[in-house]
Amino acid sequence: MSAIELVNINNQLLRSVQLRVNHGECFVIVGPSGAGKTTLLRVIAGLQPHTGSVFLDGEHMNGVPPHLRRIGYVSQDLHLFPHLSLEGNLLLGMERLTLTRREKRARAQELMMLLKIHGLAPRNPATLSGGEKQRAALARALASSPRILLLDEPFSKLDFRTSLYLRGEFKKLQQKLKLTTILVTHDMTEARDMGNGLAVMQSGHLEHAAAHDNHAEGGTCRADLFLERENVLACTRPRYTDYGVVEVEWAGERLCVPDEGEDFSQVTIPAGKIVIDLDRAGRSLINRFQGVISEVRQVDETVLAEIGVGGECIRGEWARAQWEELGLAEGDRVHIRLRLQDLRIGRGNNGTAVSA
Amino acid sequence: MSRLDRAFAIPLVFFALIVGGVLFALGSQLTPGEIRASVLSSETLFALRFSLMASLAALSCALAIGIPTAYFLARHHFPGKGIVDTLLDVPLVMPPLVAGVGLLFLLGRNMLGGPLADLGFEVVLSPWGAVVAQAYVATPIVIRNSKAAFESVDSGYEAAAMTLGLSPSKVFLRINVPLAGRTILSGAILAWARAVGEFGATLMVAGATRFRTETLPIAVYLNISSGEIDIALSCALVLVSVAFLLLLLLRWLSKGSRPERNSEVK
Repeated sequence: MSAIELVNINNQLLRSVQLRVNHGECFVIVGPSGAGKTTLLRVIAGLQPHTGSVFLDGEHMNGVPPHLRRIGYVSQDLHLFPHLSLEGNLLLGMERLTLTRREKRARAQELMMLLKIHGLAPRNPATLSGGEKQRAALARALASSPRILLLDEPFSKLDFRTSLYLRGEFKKLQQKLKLTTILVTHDMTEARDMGNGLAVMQSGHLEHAAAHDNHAEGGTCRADLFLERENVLACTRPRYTDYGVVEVEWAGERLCVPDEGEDFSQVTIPAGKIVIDLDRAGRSLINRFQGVISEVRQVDETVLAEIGVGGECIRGEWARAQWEELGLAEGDRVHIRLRLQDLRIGRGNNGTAVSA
Repeated sequence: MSRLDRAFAIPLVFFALIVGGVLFALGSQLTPGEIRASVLSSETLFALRFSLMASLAALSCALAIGIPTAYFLARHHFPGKGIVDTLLDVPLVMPPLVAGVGLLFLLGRNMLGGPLADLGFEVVLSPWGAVVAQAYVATPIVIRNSKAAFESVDSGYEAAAMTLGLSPSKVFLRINVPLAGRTILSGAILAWARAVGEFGATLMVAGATRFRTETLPIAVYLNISSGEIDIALSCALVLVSVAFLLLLLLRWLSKGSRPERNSEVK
């Protein structure tokens, strides 16, 4: 019996979604914005209408209201209750537990200790840092003693260092509690780090679900199709500036990346974030490069284009209508822009720093 | 200060002088001793007590009807919602006297008055008439403010609360009401101020009977009509004082709800 089983789920966004998640598994769903990832979590939580069946621990959940499903749900915006203290948020999370007030307070203390926020109990959520809020939301979800945990891009609004640290912490916690979890993200590094299982959501279809190990071993996991859409840039010669960026060399030119205050081994940018700059006059913007479109592929309603820039290749992704509006074809010269806010630095699998 | 600013300050000063002049005119007609004696007269005290009781009863009705209505309108879409929404605003723009005439007919013997009388509930020309008239004008104010308050509460909080195990009624009482509370309270104060000062509709439905349906505005009207200026002025001064206190309360509430500039910069 699976912890979570979805059978033929359909609604305005989702198309015949099937999914099975085993007990204690941390299952990751990746996909671009608007693919239906959040909708899928809301369907499981009972917050979104749908057809098809949702089973939790073999129990048919259709018609069961959200407050009776015993689900821990951490939304992207966290939604910590601003009229309650951190401890008040946790106590409210224990509403369905048959505990005395004293037992609830003890449990809240225990959870705050576990998530290292025990000194913040009387604080209002508005006064907490991003990482503290994240821990608080997780503690509140765990306080309700859920049978499964649904996390919607929980680390997306944190800076790189905090995100990396919390990811590690959460992974340990999830393994310790053996809590069945579905985590939604559009960050491939996060997906690789966190999941035992992996699926790709694209235009409402859950395109593939495969064991993560397959992918690690270089097997024929169809999630590679999505992984391919993240560009890993080979950068060299880092120069730390005093204005918050690191200048590196990429494709024979200067590329500015955000300075997160620590060494990094790779720079990535999602294919969907590549901007084609039609202003041919060539304004002096940072991270603007000239290239040639070498290949254009169409996958459903998405166009994937490969652009050669100074001997390097970068992949971009656009909605078909958007691409048609650009009026570009193979062999065309274009200017691309890699916006600073879209570039992510991190450590790749080998962990070595960008070479000087 | 630029020339334009100075030009814009002229109407400000002009109107502030008019308002100050009206208050001065009301306060300067009687000596402090006369004001004290009139305020403590049995008629003024009755009018004050009756006004407070009737307006609080009207406010209770307005809140009991207005808050659930506002929540429903803020959270649900249905065919004809725009028409219903507009209809609920009609008492806001309707002349109170006309509203009173409408209520008088609706609650008259030929319509709802008969069945209500059979239940032992006389509304027309009774103190209950004042409550009904005041509730009629106060309810749309509660609905408007509460609807805006509920709309401003991110529905994500409700979703979070539901997944934590709170039933819909607990979500409403423990999440929605506290988060929307300050704006609802502001609306309640405005509605109460409107109810306390209500005259036209109350005159039509409850009538103007001394020591029976005599609210403060009705007392002003009755005593001006009969030439008893002292009591009319003292009732007017009590009304102005109540209104002033409610305004102060509103300002205090809106000051507390404004985000601090520093926290926004962060």
